[in-house]
Amino acid sequence: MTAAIAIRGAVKRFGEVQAVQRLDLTVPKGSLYGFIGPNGSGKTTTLRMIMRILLPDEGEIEVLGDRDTRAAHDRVSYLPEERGLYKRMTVRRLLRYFGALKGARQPDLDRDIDRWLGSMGLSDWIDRRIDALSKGMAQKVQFVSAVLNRPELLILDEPFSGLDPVNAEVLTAAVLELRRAGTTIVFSTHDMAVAERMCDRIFMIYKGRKVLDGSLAEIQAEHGSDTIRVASDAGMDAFGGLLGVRDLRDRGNYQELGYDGDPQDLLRALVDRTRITRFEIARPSLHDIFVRIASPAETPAPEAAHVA
Amino acid sequence: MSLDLRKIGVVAATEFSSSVRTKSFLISLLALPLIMGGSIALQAFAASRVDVKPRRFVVVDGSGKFAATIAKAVEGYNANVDATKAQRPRFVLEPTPDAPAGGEAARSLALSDRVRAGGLDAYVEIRPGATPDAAPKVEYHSNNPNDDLLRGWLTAVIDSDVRARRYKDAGIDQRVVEGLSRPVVAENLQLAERNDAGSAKKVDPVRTMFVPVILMFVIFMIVMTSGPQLLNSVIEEKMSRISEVLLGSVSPFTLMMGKLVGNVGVSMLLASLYLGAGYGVAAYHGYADVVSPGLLAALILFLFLAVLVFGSLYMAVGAACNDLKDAQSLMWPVMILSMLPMFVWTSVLKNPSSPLSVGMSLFPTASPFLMLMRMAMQPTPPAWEVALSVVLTTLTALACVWIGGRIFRTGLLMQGKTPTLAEMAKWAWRG
Repeated sequence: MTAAIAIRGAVKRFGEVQAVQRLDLTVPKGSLYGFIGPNGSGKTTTLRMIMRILLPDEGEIEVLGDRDTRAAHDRVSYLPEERGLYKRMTVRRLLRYFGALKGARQPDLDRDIDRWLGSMGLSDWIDRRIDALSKGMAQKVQFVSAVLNRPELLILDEPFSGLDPVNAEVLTAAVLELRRAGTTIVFSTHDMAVAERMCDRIFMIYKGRKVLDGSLAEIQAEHGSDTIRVASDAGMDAFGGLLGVRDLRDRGNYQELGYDGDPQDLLRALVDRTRITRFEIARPSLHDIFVRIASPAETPAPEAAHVA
Repeated sequence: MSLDLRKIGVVAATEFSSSVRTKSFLISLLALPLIMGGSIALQAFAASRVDVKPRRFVVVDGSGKFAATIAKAVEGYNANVDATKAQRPRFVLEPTPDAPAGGEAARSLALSDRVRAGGLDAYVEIRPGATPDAAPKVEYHSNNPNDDLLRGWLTAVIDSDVRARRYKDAGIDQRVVEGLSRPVVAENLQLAERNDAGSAKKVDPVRTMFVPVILMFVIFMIVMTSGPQLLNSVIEEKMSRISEVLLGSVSPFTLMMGKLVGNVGVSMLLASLYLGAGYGVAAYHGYADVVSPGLLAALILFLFLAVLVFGSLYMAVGAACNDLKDAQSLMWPVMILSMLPMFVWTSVLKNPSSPLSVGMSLFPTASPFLMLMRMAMQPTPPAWEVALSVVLTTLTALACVWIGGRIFRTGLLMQGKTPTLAEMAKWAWRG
């Protein structure tokens, strides 16, 4: 599979601060790639470098086979995190402008505007000014403006932030539809559940360094063991004196623990002690892995881990 | 700096249509005629509105020679004041008070107090000269030294009386002297033209002064309205985070050029509207030929260059700022450059070939305004000066676009602290 994005040894400094440190990353064509990382970790800087809004101080970045991303500008769309719209323009005029900037032709453009606004439930707002739209509507218009040129690569910086669940669902469906149509999609998010649910591959950057890169299964296999959740009549007392139990936490209706050994042995031991109503072996969540890496206790920048 | 002509066109078309659809365009369209027409009307109105409150004054004639003459002159003057037209005030000569016990000094103080209290406008003390031939010493005291009406009139009356006495004492007939000393008036004419059989026309101030000044002010006002529009547009895009969306589609330089070209379009539209209206007025008054095609071409070229120079500088400032307040502190160098023609245009008008006029009309940021003004008046500048000013202004425009583009590229994504001018210079230097 050829790469939509290939980053090799990219470095970006802002004065004394090294925002991105020797980053290597390959985003395969047709994939849905999630960028995660705490605030200020270098996600937006990386996305801006991919768009060549910022230039790397060292290293090289290839986008859709082109080292000068501007040559691929019309095949790439970008929705920045801090996005704005011309408040006094109508929705139609604004979308025509952004579409034309991306090289979309007028007849196709108008047809796509109608189609996308229809799918977002915004058809009736096409001739209204932007300042008449709600925040959620404006965010959907921004998304439409990014996809009008039928991009091969779509880069979304926090696309779901601030959206209510209904609008988030609409946008999720639109992203998945684009992915089915073959668009490579990269998006950054703070919502680990969204990243787990939607992404083929996940990349985490922390203090400017890559700390995770791979599929969810690969990352889970690499980082942390399984978590066992148990609900029983005895509650916390069920685990007294059991060998191999560690990190026991009471979650109220159930207990969460790690177990050094075969979980089947643990289940047998518990059944002998009390009545078990729930026994679940859970893979470590992305949230857990994220928190483990980025928690204050982990202050020294971790070494880059290449799972893939 | 990469350029994409198609995208420049898209940005320019949007910038143009966004500008001409706004209320501020209509306001700027009306601003120039309103400001110019308004100032002329205001001056005419002010000139016709003379303070016609009667001027009350006292004459303390120490020489004893002029009191009667002044009293008679006041009567004559007042007889010619038409009370219904209220064009000038009447004069009221108050009786001279007797000197109090304190003498002249005490009388001066008392009269000064009357002026301060508003009962009098002025008092005049006339003292005899040191010798019989010497001019009397005339001292005019008032609380409003800028009101020259009464002082000027009194000076003329006393001067005339002194002269008459001197002629009489010398046994010379005053009318003969006045006849012999009639001034010569040199008629102000243009150069002779061969096709008019060697005759020359009278100098017409409309062509020699009015038109050059109007042309200069037209492009000055257009540049001064279009530049800040660009500044506002860039700051608005930066504040509302549209810049990053745009930079995802176009390079910063393409974006800047698109905006500049759109602004050139707006400026040309303004110029054509003004010049079209101006041509209508000029043709109505018989001055249809007042702007030649060559001068019109020069105006368009200089306007184009001036918009590039100031537009790119204003955009650079806009990209470096976070809001309009920041912009005010960074705009002063651009403002000084743009105001240069205003500081010197009167000197250029009086002496268009002086070293100052030539130097300033070749100085690139003032050249579009001052060289155009010189081209519209006599003597017209030599062709080499015009060519040099075009070359220098073009080079400056290219430099401003290049420097502006580098500052624009760096500043557009900067948030937080407003850069200093030194930091902006560093951006321009390092890119």
